[in-house]
Amino acid sequence: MDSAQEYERLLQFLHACPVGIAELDGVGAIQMINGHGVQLLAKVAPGKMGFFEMISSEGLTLARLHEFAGTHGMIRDRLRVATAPGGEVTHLELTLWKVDPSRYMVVFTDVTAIVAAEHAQRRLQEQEAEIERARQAGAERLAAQHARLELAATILHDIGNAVTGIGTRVANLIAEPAWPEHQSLSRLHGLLAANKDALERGFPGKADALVGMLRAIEAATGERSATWRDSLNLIARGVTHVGEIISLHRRLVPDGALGAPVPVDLRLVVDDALGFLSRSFERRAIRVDRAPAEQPMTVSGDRTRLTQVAVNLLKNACEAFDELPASDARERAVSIHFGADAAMVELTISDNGGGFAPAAELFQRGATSKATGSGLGLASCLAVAQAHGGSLTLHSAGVGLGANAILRLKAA
Amino acid sequence: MLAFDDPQLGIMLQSSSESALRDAAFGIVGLDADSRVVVYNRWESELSGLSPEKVLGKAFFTEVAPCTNNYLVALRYDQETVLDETLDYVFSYRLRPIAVRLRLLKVGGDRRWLLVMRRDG
Repeated sequence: MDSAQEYERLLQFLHACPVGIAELDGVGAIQMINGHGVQLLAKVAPGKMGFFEMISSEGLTLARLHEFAGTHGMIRDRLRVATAPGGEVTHLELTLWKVDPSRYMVVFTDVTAIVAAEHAQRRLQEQEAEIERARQAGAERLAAQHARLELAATILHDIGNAVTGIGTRVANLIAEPAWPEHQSLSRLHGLLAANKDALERGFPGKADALVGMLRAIEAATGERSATWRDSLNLIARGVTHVGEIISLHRRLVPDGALGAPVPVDLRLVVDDALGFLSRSFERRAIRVDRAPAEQPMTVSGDRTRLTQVAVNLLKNACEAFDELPASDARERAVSIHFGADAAMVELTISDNGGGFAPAAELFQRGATSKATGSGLGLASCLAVAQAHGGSLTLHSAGVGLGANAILRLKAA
Repeated sequence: MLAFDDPQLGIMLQSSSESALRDAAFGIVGLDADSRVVVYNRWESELSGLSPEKVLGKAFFTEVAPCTNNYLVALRYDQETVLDETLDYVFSYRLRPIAVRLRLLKVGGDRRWLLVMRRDG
């Protein structure tokens, strides 16, 4: 290959280089430029000759070129410049070198597609961030709503417990015999009225007045006693009404929503529930046998919810006798047993009351085998049991043949 | 006498003698339907530093003047059936940028004409 051929090859090589290469003099006039460079500049500045006439950018001006104090070296590295000669924006990336004190070399490529891709990527990221912000805001709203429901559930439950306590106390007071003081006064009045002569002897001229005064006290006490009883009945009705309102509102809060788990001894839970219901058992003359359990029956969970479940199950056992005919003479009994293995703790409540048909769908919301039941209790109990990693099962041999409820919970 | 700005130049070129084309006072490049060089006159040869013998038969836009292989020049011939357009451009045959005025001509048939004049950069 002779030197002329070599020259041609070199020229071909430079023209074909897939980047724009240009040499500028000290005032930015293009001294040499390759084919790709001409094409790129023809796109952004058709027919122009001065480099800084073609490319105008704050970061790349003749003044900036002259600010570079060194004799050689890089002035700008991959500077991006946007031009829009015909309305369509073209992005060039330029690297500018000072070759010697009077010559500069610039290398440039068209990065329009890359910039568009970067913009698209940025827009996508912004959209994703926007979606993520919306999702988080939604999650926060849901969490806040959940927290409010939890709070509402806790408040309703605590008020419910307090009201149940008041109701139990009021019921006990109503069940007590009439005021014994009044009975004693009646007897004393009868005695003195029957022995007025003897009284006259002891208190001459005063017997009639004494007997009269005693009658007046007896009458007033009787009246007070009746008022007391009426008031108690009014309070009992009020408590029942409050209880109804609370159970109505409880339907609106989510089942099985639990507080932070704490260790709970199921024996104590059952004893609390029995305390709430003692009067109900007494009134129906039901014998309650609570089998002793030596070791603690500890689960990790929500004590309030578990107490609610125990009260519900014991109340069902208690009310199982209400469906029996008045002539039924069986000895009424409810028995409570505890059992445990390594994984689970078990509570069994058995009664010999009214039972239910084997196919009864007792866990359906709204389903009930009782004349006055709401059907809400067992569905909620099951939800709470499941939330504690457990189960609730009910068995009956048939109507009139008693039933048992088995609550199994994950041991702590 | 051929003149760069003559409105009838397209027709005149079709019937011009070889010597008239060769001696014209501006650059004349004639291309066939595949843009291979069939006419390369003296003026153009002096501007580019390429002899007609080296250039004739070659693909003009890719092998001879790659700096014209774009939408402003090469693509115009492919897009238009009839073309007569003048534009300012920069050639860099030997890497030296040369400010030129181009007239792109296509009056029908297969022949394509690229006419070149110097202008002040």
